[in-house]
Amino acid sequence: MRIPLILVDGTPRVNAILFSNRYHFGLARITFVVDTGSNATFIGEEDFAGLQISMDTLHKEEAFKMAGSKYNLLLGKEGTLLFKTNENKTTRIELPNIPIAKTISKKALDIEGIPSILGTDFLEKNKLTLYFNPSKDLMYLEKEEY
Amino acid sequence: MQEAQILKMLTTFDLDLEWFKENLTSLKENYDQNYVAIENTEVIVHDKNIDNLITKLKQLGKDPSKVFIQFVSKVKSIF
Repeated sequence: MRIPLILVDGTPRVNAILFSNRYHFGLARITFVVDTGSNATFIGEEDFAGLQISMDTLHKEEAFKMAGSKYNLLLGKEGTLLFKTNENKTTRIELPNIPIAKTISKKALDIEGIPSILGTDFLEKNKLTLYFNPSKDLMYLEKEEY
Repeated sequence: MQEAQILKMLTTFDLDLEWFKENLTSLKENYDQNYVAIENTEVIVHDKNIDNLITKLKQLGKDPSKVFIQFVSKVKSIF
């Protein structure tokens, strides 16, 4: 089973739907950058803003630095990510806690927040392999079949 | 959740992402340093402030969690 990726501005991205019975947003759109340079997976500020989740429902996990700015990694309640496969079906991946990155400080005001990231932790935990061949515009995540 | 509903949403989201990709150059010219909200291959709202953008979307009767929101900048992002 493969999850196709879309190359945008040099970065492989994938759309997902986030679903959680614990929040009111219903089915929410998340656009992830697949980033093998990150060992953490989280929802970035643009997608988080759309979720309209109260900060009171999140607890702080740890602070981290990325691209020169500082962020807090916050954990929400459980959720499910849904992706579209190359066979035009959906595949679901459970999240025990919805991870969210919130800015603590930025290097400059005109620098955007970080996007939503699918990192190596997500690939490892869910047994996903990244195939990335930008010169042929061929890229996808492949899940091991059982 | 209905599988067909999910697939339809994901297909629409992919079309918006493909449109963003194809139109990124002109978007950077027109909306530099702005957040843009894209729905059905169209910029429906833009603002320099993400909270203002969310407010504008709600005023239009749009659900912000269903709309593609992206910061556009001529300055290239490197992660």
